[in-house]
Amino acid sequence: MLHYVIRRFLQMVPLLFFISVLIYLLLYLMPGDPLYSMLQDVPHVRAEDYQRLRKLYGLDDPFYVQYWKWLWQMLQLNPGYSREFGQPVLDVIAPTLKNTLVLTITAVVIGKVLAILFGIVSAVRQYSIWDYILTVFTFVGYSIPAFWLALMMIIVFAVKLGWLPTSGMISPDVVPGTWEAFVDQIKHMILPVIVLSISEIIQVQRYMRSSLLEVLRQDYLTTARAKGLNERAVIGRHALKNALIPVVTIIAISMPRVIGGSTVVETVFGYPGMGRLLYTSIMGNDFVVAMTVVMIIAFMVIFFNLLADILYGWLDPRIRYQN
Amino acid sequence: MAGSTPAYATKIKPVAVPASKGYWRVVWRRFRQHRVAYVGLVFFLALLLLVMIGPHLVPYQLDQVSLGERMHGPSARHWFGTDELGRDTWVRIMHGGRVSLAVGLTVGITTVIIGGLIGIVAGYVGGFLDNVLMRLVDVINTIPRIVLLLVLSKVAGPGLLNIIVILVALEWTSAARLARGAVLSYREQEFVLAAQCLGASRWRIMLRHLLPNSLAPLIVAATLDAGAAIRAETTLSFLGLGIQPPTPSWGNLLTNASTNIFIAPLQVFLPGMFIFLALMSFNLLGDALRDAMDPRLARER
Repeated sequence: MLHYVIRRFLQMVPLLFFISVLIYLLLYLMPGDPLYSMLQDVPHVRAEDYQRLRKLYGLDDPFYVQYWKWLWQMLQLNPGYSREFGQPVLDVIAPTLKNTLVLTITAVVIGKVLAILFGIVSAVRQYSIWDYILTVFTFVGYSIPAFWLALMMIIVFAVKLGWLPTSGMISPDVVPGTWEAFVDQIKHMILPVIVLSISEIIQVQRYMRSSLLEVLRQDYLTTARAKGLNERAVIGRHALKNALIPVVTIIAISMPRVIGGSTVVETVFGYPGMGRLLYTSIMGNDFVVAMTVVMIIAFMVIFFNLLADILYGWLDPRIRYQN
Repeated sequence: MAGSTPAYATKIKPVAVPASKGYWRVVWRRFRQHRVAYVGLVFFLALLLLVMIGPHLVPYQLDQVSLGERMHGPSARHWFGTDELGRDTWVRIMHGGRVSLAVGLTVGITTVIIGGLIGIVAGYVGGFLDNVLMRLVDVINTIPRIVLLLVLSKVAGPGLLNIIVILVALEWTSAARLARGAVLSYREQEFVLAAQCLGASRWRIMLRHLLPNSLAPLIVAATLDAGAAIRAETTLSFLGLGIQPPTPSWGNLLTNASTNIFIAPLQVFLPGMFIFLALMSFNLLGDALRDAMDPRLARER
């Protein structure tokens, strides 16, 4: 097991390397001159000064030299300085990462708990009216584009009913740290959390249903029933334990996708998270910030994939990793 | 076997030929019995017909500005109302639908041709080539799709053709995986061995023997990819990185409408409703085709 974990860890390195080269290449090809946006507001820049600055910042270096410099700094956890924000990149990203984690973890917990409950209902009462309703719900939900759902939520709950704010994370007039500020922040989070958790429910509910149906067919449950256990104990104690194994790994794998997927939702709701930062930095040619955010997301993806593999082996004694 | 007469061999032949024809007949019959499939197909054809004839049903042009009729609600004159410049929303949504559906269909078909070929070659040739191609698939699928879409569309710049190229560059992976999987299961079978023994070239084996056998999953992939492409295109256009005004798309119509969300929420509702209907029809169709073409699934039911 330990061997397996170590080997998988080592396999992460080349994948991360390829991703970083690919993304760096793409952002390197991005239109827009970083020096131009930097000097935009500076009057009287002569052509030779411009050239000198290009050389100084290494903008004329070939691709691999620039990449190597970036990688070297990145390994020292120094992704650079954002001209657009006038701050070090880490200082720009850190608060947005925190906001995104608050948003996505809330959405994931709510979404997965409901998905598992819905999945259990669907499987235990297969072909019932509830199973039918939930199936239609997943199918309809799967076809609704997230940005439109977000806009519809704004129309219903913010524009028509006026219950919730339309965008942002906190109202400008509340004092931070007070109870009012806390309630205010919750109110801002309700709509994005609903939109994100609906897509979570849809992704996981079907897995839960089919996984439980698979288990319900097995002989050991007949044995449990024959022992005289009531249905609640049969499902709650015996069936769920095994049915949840694949679902847990699906949940682990889906974590980074939620963070990526929150890009659109955060942008529509104007929520100051890392997803919206990615969008604004790409739109504003903020090369260094965009690159760092993408690498953080890529790192998370690979880390959670590894976690899913390890969890799977740990939870399911039938799986043994060969060395 | 070596002693069997030619007459014996000809006896087998007429049995084998209609059997392969029969497969598609069975698929069609199963497809017809699938009520959901009908709904998907009807929705899709209706949408296609609607965007083709829709703009001709009303006497307005795509960019016909009418400042006296700004932000009107639905009426007999303007079925879906008008936008902030008094342009007819019905006409704009129909034209936007042409663009969005065209992107979806083009990408769906192209990804399957490119991805299918890559998958078949990777699966059949194997070795180093297979390894490299599958690692590439891994890299593309590892990073969340929306992140790559944002970066790529910024690099390529806006425009219809650019969007199509980007979407094909990302979506070919699912078709490639499916085709590769199918080829891996077939390539050690007797009919491939027989073709090899008869001296068929690699390309002949791949195109003549392996391609027809991987067709079923590829058709399903084309349908689902088309839906995914419409979702991606409308999302990008909505974010201002895809199709740019004045060319309408269901995505950028939504962006435009969302600036007036407090005054005219209906204008936000309508383009999104059409995106939803299009995605729904492709997903229903894809699901139904998968059920119809998968003999294993059909027997289970």
